[in-house]
Amino acid sequence: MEALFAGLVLGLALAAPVQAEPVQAEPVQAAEAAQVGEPPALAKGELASLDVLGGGSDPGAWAVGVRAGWPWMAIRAQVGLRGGVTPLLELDTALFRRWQPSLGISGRLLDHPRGRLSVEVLLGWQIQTGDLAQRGPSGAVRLRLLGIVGRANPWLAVGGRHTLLFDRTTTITADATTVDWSVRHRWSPSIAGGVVIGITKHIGLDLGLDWHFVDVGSTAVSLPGIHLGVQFGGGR
Amino acid sequence: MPYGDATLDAADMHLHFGEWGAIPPSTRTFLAGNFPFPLGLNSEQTAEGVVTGEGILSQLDRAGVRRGLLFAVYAPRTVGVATNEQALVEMAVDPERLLALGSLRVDSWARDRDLQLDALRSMLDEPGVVGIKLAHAHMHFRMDDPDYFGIYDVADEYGVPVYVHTGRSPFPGTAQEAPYTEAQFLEEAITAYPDVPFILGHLGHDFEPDFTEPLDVVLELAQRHENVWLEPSALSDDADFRLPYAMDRMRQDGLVDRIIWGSDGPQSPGFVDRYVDATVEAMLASDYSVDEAQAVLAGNFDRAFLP
Amino acid sequence: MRSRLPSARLARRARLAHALLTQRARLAHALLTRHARLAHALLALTCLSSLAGCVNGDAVYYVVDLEIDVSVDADGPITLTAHHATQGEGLLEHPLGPFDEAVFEDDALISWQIAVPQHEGEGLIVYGWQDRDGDGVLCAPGVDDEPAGLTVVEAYPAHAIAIELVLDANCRGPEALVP
Repeated sequence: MEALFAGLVLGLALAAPVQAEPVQAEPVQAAEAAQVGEPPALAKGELASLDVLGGGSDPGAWAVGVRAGWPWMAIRAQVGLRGGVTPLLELDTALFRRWQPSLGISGRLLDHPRGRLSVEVLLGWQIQTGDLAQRGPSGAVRLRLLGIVGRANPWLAVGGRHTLLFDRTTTITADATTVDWSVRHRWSPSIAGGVVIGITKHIGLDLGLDWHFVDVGSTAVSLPGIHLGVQFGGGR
Repeated sequence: MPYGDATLDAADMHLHFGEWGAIPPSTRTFLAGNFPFPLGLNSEQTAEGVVTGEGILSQLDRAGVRRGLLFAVYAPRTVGVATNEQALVEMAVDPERLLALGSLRVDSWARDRDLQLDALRSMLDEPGVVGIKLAHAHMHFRMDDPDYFGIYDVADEYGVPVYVHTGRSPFPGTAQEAPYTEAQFLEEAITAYPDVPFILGHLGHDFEPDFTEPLDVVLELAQRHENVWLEPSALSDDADFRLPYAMDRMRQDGLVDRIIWGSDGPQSPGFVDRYVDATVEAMLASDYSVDEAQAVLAGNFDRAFLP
Repeated sequence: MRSRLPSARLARRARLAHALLTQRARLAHALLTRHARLAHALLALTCLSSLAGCVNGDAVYYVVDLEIDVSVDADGPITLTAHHATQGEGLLEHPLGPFDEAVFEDDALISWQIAVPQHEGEGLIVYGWQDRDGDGVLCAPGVDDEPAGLTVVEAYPAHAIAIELVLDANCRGPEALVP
């Protein structure tokens, strides 16, 4: 999987001009737009749905994504700032028993009319209830890869979440009471992918498969999931 | 139940029912952690769809098994409590197809011995209750302690078999010491009660890769004592070694007429189905005849529990 | 289908891609360095301020120094097991529940420090047995002379307790001796 992802990235980087050459890029983009008969906004990737699934927003643009499925559901909001930084807020949940609220930033590593590579770093919390209750600070790093090929565009997200679980031990002796802390680490890599359809500049839909390998080493097996998402946004 | 070109009747002598809340918290965590994610997040919901009379019957239907035996359990330190009264309720879902083994609490034996034995007698008075279920490792009492032989007096009085869990168990809080797990510690009781059938469950499986030593002990007991029966449940392993090896050894030792098949289900949807298939495969591989396979799957069950 | 690009153009695009990646990496590093201290402080403050929300396992141990006067007729190492007197609630309530075990040489007076888990049960019971044949098992088929005994530690909770333990019940597990 890693080799495939690296290959896709390398192909994206090498196959076409990058945004650092604006003079040469515009005629290429216009020619391509004319070739496929698409609106200019789509040809430039300026869709809220593409921002949510591909990562990063242009300065002033905002986007919200809501995802419903099994077992994961999520809501995500992001807004583009100057300097290529996109703060984002995310809340995802598995069956309303495992909650992962996070704040983070997203930034585009590669930006091209035909695709996008971005990275996200998120920090937040994890709360899981029931017989497997656990809670603690949690962070994730995620790479998003988006292909912009037409009305329906493929996307891929690969990442990993790390959670710290703190345990407290109190020891009462005749002389004193001492408290010791220890920490356990949980790692949950994930991969998700699907297709996003930009209906208009402001609204889109996506269908995707999600596979979170939850708490590797502690959970026996993780089942894959599926979701349907709606994205909307503005600011352009 | 297909067996080669034949179709066989089948009965599962080892099935668990219960309520999630009647399982100790440490065992609930252990079980939930073994469910695939995200099923462990809603562990109570996941489990209770399966461990009711209705759930068990649907598992039996899926597996082509006609009849099942429900186990009452009193093991508050380990796997939890599934009462005699609840066994009667679950059995009533289909009394033609579901029977039960009764059990009793032994954790305050010095104080409650006579009370518990009377409660066991009351359970055995109920239609469809065909024997007694014990698990020394889960219930925490020694197999060779004569103070507990009053249980076998009751079995003798009612003319019913006693199922005994032999071998170790992965559940939290289980006793792992030899007098609670190893079948040779039962020989005193087996000898003292020659008219009571003792069904040695799991064939002494000790969760070690090499199954041969505990199996040798169990099979030697069966060869020395006519009242020892053999139940090959919960022997699946990744190497697909234990169950085929056990089925082959028992046939080689001429003990087919005392094998009573059980699964230790329902565990998860499809478990009973998979385990009976694995047993059939093991019997085919060891050249069990149709008559021998039928004896294992149902004939010996009927002789032991429905004479 | 596109034709293959000339190699010089390919090389220039690779250099531009590398420059873009490097530029973005430098920007991210600068951002992180500038805000690293702030982020670290925020994380520490968040965890400290919601400490209850951070705690998963919350174990409490009460340390007891036991002086055990063992009465037994013969020789052999003595295995002691510390139990809760009771564990569980409702249908799951039961006597006993081991939490510590140790083997001692054949001494009449044994000093044993135990940490009683407060979060797992109540009360304290000490069970012991003597391994006369050294096989690590209390009695076995053919071996029926290994004594055992049990004492309910009435003085618990206290950090220093002296008890007597009489080993005179051959081959009995703790479940058979608990009152």
